[in-house]
Amino acid sequence: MTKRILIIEDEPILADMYATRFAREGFNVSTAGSLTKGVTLAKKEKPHLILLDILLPDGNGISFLKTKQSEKSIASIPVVAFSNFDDPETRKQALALGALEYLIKTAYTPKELLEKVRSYLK
Amino acid sequence: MDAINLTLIVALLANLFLVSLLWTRAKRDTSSAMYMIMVATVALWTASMIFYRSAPPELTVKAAQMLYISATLIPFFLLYFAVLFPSLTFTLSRLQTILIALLPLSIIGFTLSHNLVIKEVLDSPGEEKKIVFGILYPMYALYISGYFILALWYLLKKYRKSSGILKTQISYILLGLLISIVLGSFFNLSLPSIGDFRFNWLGNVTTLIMVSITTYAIVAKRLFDIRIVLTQSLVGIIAILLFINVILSETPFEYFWKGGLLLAFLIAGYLLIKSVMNEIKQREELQQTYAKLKELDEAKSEFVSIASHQLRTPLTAIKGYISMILEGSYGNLNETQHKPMKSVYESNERLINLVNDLLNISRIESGKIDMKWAQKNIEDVIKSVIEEIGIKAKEKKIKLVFEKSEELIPQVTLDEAKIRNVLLNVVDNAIRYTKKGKITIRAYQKQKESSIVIEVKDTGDGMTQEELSHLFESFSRGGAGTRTSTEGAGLGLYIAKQFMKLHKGQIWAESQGRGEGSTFFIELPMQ
Repeated sequence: MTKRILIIEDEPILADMYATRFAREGFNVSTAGSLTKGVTLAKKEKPHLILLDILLPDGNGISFLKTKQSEKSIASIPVVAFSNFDDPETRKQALALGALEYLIKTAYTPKELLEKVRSYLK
Repeated sequence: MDAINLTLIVALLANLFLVSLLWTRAKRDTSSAMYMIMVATVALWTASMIFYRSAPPELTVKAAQMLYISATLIPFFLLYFAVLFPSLTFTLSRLQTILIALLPLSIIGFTLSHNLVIKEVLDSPGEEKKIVFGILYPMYALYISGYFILALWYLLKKYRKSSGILKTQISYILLGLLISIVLGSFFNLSLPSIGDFRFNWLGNVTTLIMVSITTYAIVAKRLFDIRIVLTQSLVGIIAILLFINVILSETPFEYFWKGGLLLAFLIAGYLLIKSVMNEIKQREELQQTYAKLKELDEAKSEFVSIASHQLRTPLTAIKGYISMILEGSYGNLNETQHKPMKSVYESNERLINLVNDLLNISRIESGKIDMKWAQKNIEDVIKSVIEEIGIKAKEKKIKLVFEKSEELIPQVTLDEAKIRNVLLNVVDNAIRYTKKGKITIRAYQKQKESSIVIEVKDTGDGMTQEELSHLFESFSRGGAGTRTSTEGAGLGLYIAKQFMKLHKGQIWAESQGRGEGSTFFIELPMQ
């Protein structure tokens, strides 16, 4: 079964890069460039996993996690937080709100990120 | 009109001036209103003293009664003030209000009744009038002292509980009260009780100190440090006493040397006040500088966090796309194309590491580093580091060997990510400065110091004593320009040292000299 991935990332160059790599491996990828669009797409498509950027133009990944917790239809979707904002407080908050991991983007190539996602989907 | 009455008129006018200062404030809040009423009663008492001292013989008893009744009102309103301050509204219950008023009203009644508090007034020309007290005078004296002490106690309680500007205000009020109560009790209660009425007019003058200081505390928008006021008050009091001393001189010689003493004291007092003010000014400037520095430090931390995030975004794109090109996502690369692409990838990795290091340093220096403590097996950490960096050693054809300890090494509490970082830096360093041969890593327990030591020994370039001494400083490669490798910004070992400090551990290196290889030691305390 084709797994659906939702990538919430506001930098088009990065969103494009990850989407291309994931699609190449057979994933069904959607991208959202903002918090609002991310919530809408999550509710509409019910992805198998969400890759969530933290610093977004209309809010913060933490608010997305809080919204997700309160929405029954998307509350159980696994989320992996990934960001270049390496803030210990934000990391703690994200993990406390149910994020599986808080990855720093520069530490992973798209392939390595893919491996991570695969391991969570198993 | 004698000199004393003149002094009393000045005191009266000063009190009335203070009442006027408090007027607008009194309309707005109850505490200030109560205090203003108290200052007004002090003015009334001073006016009564002037009348008492000037009254004809047939009116002296009535004047004395008026004097003592007006004095009764002062501690009464002061206590109301002490209980209310700093409340803006009247917060006393009806019972509290009546209870506080009960005793003074009784005292006033007793004073009005003939003979109970004041029996008669003895008038001798050239001397201050002497009062013969009645049987209830001790009760009168006890009431005055008791209410003053109660007022002090309330204010002291509030002083302990408060902070900031309120605390400063209360400290001023307490200072003024203490000075006036001590002096006033001496001149107006203690001395008269032994029949000495020579200085009973001084009580009115000393209340001026209390009233001025407290009015300043209430009215001033910015309060000066109380130490200045204390020093000024002390100097002022001693100056007044020395001045009185001069006035009481009987011979020209006495006038001369007592006047000289007063002058010398005034000069010393001025210098003392100046030095206190300077010290306080310096301290305030230091505090302002400290606050500014703290602000700058916060701004710097925020800037570094945001800057590193902004720098990392394009680095992520470069890393991602170059890795995909190398993987063949955009077509297979031939050998000629592969090598430069790999160099680009590796250079980019260096940039990423540099940003990570700069962010770490900033966090270490601000004390904002997050530690994740856990019990770990040090050999597992070493194995994972070898796994990560093994490829680099292989490419340079250097053997990377882990000599496992024969004895069991107990687990140790550490922040795994940071110790990995330290070890990676040390091993990476060893690989960089070793052209051929091997790097041996081993770990063992140091029984005596109850610590674990990791040794990383290489057969590389070695270091001079000079290089060893600068090794763990930032932006140093163990001797700029003398080493063959120019890779690395030299932050790795500096950060490694800081991370070891956070573990209350140590890191150091030893070398026999150039060409003799080096050994790095990482020591972690067991607890």
